[in-house]
Amino acid sequence: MSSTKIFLKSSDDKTFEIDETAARASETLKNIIDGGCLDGVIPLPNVSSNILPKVIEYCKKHGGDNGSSKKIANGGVDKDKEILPDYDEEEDKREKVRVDELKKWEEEYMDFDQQVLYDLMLAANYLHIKGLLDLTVEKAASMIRGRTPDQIRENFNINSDFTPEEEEEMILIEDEWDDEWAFD
Amino acid sequence: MKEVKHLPCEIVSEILSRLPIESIMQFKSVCKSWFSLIEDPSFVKLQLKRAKSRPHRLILWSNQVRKNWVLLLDRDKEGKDMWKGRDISLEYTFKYEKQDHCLNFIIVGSCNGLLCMVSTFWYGCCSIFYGIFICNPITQECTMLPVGGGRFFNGGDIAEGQIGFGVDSSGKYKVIQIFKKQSFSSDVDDDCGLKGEIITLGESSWREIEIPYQSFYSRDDSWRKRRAIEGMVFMNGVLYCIIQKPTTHEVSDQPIILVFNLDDDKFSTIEFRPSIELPPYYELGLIEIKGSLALHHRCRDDLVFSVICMK
Repeated sequence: MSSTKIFLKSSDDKTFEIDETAARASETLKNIIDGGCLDGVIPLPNVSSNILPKVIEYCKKHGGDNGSSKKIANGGVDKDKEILPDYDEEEDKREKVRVDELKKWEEEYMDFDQQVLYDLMLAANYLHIKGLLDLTVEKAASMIRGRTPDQIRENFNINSDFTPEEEEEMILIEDEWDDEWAFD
Repeated sequence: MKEVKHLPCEIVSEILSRLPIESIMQFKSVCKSWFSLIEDPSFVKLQLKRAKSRPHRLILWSNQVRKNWVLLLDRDKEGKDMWKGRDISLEYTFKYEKQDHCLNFIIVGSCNGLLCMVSTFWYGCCSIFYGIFICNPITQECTMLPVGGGRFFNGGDIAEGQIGFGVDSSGKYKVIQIFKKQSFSSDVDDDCGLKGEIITLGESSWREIEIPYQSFYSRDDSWRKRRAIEGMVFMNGVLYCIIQKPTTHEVSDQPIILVFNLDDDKFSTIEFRPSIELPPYYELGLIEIKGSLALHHRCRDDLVFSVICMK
């Protein structure tokens, strides 16, 4: 199956190529393609050239993922399902291998620093790539899970903008929580 | 250099909504924008949606062991049948409680992590009804409902009643209380019908609702006289409790399930199939088991429960 090529232009004017099927992983791009507004290169003023290849890599892996890859794997054997009772097992195994492989791929794919994570979250949000947004947001959540508000402020360079009085009230609340967690 | 503060609100919401509620409450103090984001109703909705898709948490009532404490059980992330527990005191929650009396709380309902609790206090040897509270034991937020027309008293002591707590399809939390109409003519409570009141969380007063049925279910009056406020079972927008089947004959001790739909505030009933044969002297109650309504009953001096699942 050959596919039409789509060209994307990053914020710093570099052009990248992507298969149409892969591009459809992005809701935003899908709307542009289906809307017939495709006129040469699609400019993406919010995505820079150091993050766009990363996004394209994800789309390639997941493009046309809307159930179609599963259908291909099934290869029209649905009818045989009832005749061959051991078919399910085989299919389960293949599915398991597929899931394991995807997990490993995701692990490698997600190995980057905090700066890339921000950019990727923003790009996924802008391009409406739900899977990528889930993946990146989950990683961000795991980075702040179990931290104290102080650690969060330090780690993410956030200034507390509460007045000293408000701050004091907040500390009281935090203290209560410290007591709570002593029961863990 | 991009930073967390440059992320749009919707991404920060997405991130925070995936954290346990305990962290979320703590992170209110990170900065003003996080504070207002967490307090925002749309974030509350998103968090609830996410929390529902995670493995269930259980809240156990451990009043027997420690007064006014609940035990929160979390399913362990890795081990399928492993649970982690933690005690939560309700003392913080009820810090504005009646100073001169020590209040006792019983859970009569729960829904989306909120508990509906009835508080009572001892006056001499009488247990006196104080009020109904809705609280979130984790965030320690708590609100006391206005006092309704319902009097769960019987000469000072608590009379029997049913309290139901649930959420309708539009997301409004409602509490319904059902109690016996007061009879002033005699000191024994004649069956002069049931009275009901309903309130939506946030409203300042209860609305009366007509209950077309006569009385609560009590098979053996002498032992049932101990009086109790019971919780109704909440499932998918509907509240259930057991009442006495209305009858034209002299005596009827047939139970029937009273059904209250929170969307249209309407009552209906479900009959038990005649095939359900129960032994004498029992306590009857309803519980929810995996999305099905179940009937549990107990013999008088027996600690063994039996449960009948109804589909």
